[in-house]
Amino acid sequence: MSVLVNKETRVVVQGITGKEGSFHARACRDYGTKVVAGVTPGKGGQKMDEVPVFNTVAQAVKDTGANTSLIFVPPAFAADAILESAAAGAKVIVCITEGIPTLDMVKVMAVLKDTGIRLIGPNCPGIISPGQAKVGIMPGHIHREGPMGLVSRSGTLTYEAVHQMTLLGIGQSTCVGIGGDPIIGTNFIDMLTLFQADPATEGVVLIGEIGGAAEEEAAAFISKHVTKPVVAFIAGQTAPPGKRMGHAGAIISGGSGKAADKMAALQAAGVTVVANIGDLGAAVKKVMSY
Amino acid sequence: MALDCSLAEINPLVVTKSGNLLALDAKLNFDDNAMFRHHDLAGLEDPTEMDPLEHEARKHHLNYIRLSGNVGAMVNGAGLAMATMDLIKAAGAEPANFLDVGGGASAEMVTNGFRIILGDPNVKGVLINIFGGILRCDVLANGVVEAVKTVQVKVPIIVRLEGTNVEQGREILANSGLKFTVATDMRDAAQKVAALVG
Repeated sequence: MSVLVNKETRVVVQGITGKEGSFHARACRDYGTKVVAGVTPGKGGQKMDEVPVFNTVAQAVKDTGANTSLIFVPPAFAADAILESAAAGAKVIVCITEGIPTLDMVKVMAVLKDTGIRLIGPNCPGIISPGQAKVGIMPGHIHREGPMGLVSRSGTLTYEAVHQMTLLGIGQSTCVGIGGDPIIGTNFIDMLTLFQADPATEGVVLIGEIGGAAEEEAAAFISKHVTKPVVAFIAGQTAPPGKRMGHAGAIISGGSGKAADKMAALQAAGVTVVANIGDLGAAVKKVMSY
Repeated sequence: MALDCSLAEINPLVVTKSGNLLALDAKLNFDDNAMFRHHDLAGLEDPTEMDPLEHEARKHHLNYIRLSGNVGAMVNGAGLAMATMDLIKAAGAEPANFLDVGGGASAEMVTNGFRIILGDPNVKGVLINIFGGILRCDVLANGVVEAVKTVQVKVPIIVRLEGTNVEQGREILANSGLKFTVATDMRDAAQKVAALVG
């Protein structure tokens, strides 16, 4: 079992003929994901390896039965790409693109509201369900099948956490990078809801960072609705206020968004919070008694 | 909204005797990600108002923020870069900077990153923490070796590599004839940083 993606997932890659798009389409396919189509306007009829390229997502869905899209379109056009795949019937949309203007995402979210379409990202590494499907840019080989769900606002920090768990023999059910932007399609609470309901997930690792109040909201949700153990780490304990730390959403502004407040909120909700990222794998092992 | 403002603050706003509204002062923040459609606004940026190293980094598409400590850090990924800063602090030292070289960093970006980190005279040591996913460790190791040769690094360097092609990466560093301290994992890196500054 897994959430969001599995062996039946059929992926259309938007921007498949670009450098990033082709590289990662191949890596996803090599992992075992069914990459059934690509889209690049004006390049319909071509092939990327054996994958047919279409001018529109609608045509790709019609001809190949794609149900999930993976987006590598430049920031100026990425919001349109999300709306195009939503209109074409994609049920899960993973947007890797970094640097989409905030107002563009406000418009996208207004359209997606109440449609049941699940957008992951933007500015994220994507989703992987080890042994089943990889719809994203993470290195597949560091993962291993197992019982831990993982949700994170970061990319490489997620790989670090996964790597530590895998070395200790602890596998993952599904790992989702929800993205580092202020406006994202899927938040911690959405993922916690899915992991809580997934019989294959026994516990959850949550990786947050400074900025916003998503971790505090997650803490409130966990104390009411999550019975599975949660282990958390918050990046940016030493970040200075008023500076944007790489991610558009990672900023302490007006005294809010601090790591210490997030850690305290999660601790109060019964979450095991590790202060040092080097201790994460060991903490999971201990909490889950693996 | 039309200008992609993330903040618009008008204070004071006055009503004149003739009944007109007049904004006497205002502060506007703009969304950096939307500057591609506001070239007129992008042109207003004044580099003399920025830290010179931060301005230099921006020219090379590097995400660098100068801090007050003495341990420089070069990391791929914003989250891992923040976690690495936290680790330096937990080891009893202070981070000198935040630097995210990105997922697709090239040898050239690594060299520029080095130059910028070492442009800060407070830096007494550098921690390189790379989780190779897309960025392969052997490519990075070659970049680091090249950078250290060109930039003439005089401070100790701790390298922690993990991920794709990590064995080749470590071998390249070991065979380079240069003095690197290789850390095996994040905990080990923290201890080595502590020893460095202690």
